[in-house]
Amino acid sequence: MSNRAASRRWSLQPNPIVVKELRSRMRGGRAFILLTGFLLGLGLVGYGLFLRATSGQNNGAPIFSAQVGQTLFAGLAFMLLFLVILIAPAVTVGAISSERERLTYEMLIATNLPSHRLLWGKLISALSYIALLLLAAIPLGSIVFLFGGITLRHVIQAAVIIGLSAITSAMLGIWASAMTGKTGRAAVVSYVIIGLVLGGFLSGAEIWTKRTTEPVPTGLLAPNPISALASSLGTLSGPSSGGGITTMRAFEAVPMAAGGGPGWWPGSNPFSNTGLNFPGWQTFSIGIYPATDQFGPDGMPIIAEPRSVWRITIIILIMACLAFFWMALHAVKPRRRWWPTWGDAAMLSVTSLSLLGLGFWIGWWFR
Amino acid sequence: MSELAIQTVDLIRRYGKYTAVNKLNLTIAPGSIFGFLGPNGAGKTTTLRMLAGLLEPSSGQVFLHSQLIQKTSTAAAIVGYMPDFFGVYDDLRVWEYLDFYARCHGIEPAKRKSTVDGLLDLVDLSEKRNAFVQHLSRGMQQRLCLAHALVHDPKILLLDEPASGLDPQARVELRELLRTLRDMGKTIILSSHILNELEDICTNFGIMARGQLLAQGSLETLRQRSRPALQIKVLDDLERAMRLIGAQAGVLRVLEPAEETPNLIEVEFDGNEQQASQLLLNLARAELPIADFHREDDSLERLFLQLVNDHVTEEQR
Repeated sequence: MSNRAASRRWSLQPNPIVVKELRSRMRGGRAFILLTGFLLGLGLVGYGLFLRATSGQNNGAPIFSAQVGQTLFAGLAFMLLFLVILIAPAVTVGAISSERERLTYEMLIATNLPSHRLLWGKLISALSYIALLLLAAIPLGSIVFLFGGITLRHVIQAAVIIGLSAITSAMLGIWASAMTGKTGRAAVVSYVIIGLVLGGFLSGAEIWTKRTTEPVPTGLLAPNPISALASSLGTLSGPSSGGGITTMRAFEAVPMAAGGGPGWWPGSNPFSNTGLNFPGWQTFSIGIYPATDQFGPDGMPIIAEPRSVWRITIIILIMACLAFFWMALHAVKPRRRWWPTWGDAAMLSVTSLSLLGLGFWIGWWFR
Repeated sequence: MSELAIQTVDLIRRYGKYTAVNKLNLTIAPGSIFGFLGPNGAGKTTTLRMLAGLLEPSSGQVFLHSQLIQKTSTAAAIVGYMPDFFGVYDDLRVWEYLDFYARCHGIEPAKRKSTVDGLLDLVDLSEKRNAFVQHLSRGMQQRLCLAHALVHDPKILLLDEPASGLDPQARVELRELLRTLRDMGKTIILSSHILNELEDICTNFGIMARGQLLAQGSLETLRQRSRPALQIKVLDDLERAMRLIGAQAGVLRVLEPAEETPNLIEVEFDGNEQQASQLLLNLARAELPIADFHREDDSLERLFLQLVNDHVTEEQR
């Protein structure tokens, strides 16, 4: 049987790595204990957010159901983002290195399994577990719909950002695993990079806002999935139009009624009238709301529409995934690792053409 | 001339300045069991990895059944490879382990079960079908690993130190298994340090040292290269004995006794039995205290040591 015929034959079959990994991963109680812990943690955080969102009632302030729904949704979305970004590399840092460490790598690459199928298998099996976590969280997350205030557009945007972040994070783990060959080293490399991306860019934006009144450059916001999610969730409340209350923005009155009053402005929380009342929101949304010098009829400053940096983040995450995949693909090859192939040329062409195509809508992406 | 199963042409592999394999020209006929001998660091594993397509030669070529190997996948279809140090997926059952490799080789679903069952039967692990791999003994894991190399019915098997770490019983079982595979028409290359085990089972041998192939061929061919020798144990007056021995007909060279056997004189001797008899008679007439006088056997071990020592001596010059 020729190699080509063999490849054709099993290209229609399930990826062997996925079958093996799922068999071994889902065996025993470990996976289910983690799943239970994950859901319990998420439930507790959701309950905490609910208590916080409704805490104003103790002071006799009216609470709008939409505000509770939006706070819960945004809080849970951030929680999920952090969890998948942290869990995905933990699942993948051993993808290649553990095969080397337990001396199964040579036996694996001595088979007919091509490198790209090996990597896909590792990625898909890791992502399927993360997908299981996310799917299991759906019933819990759907509670927010009981409160309202969320549109399908926001759900889809958040799902895309969280999903792509999970894939990129998993791909980062596989890349580190393939490049370093040691699981411990791969974990250190992955989490240092994640720390730098999440914390580094946020700190950069923070420093920027303290030093200048100029808007934070897109380059400091777009690479960070936190800023991307904040920019998407920021539109939940819409721009403040100086006190005008619509159904969607009804809750904007709440922070004032809850004791803030006009006195809170311009206090330490200029964006609290976005209505998302949970810890960290100010930090996560830094640089997202461009300040304006316009004031509404009630004398309140108008806060502009949040910047849509999430669109560029999507492109950056896809590009990062491709780059990690390409490097890992070459690193797992047993021979001629860094020799350019026709596959590389094809990938480069498709990527360049895609970027060129995106360039036609450059205005939309950078809006 | 019939097609060779394995042929290497001036195969070289360097790691920086160190040459692990130097101009290796191997020829192995189909259906043979080729014993690859050599001390540690001789280049056996490097050679096997190049044959399996896992390592790029620095120069030279590898042909497997006349097919030039330039990609791992080309070799993978022809070769089953069992490394010297191997791991197993502990959390898989025995049948799942083989099923996984069958999938990796693209075996069709319809054939997969019968392939796995057949292999379990072959390596005598059918009873352990549903056991977890981690619960198998070392010998069983070794047989399972050998089965994994057979999953795609390769023409060539490359087994790197397959008997290492096995107890005597497991070694006997492995030997039987290799004989069965030979009867199935596989070409098998196995490297080992246990020379007498190879002598029993291999049809051809290659002896390597410091990256070079010193000799290859059947045991008979190799024996022709071996210099016959006598061992004479003299209890006293060693110098007079050596002078006397050196003057006898048929004696090529008298070697200095080794430190650990100070009374044992090794003599390279190509004389006939009459000349050997005359030598013994002359030693007795000279009243030398002879405690032992015998011809050395033609074992593979002696041949191996002779070739390797000669090579080392030559390199030191």
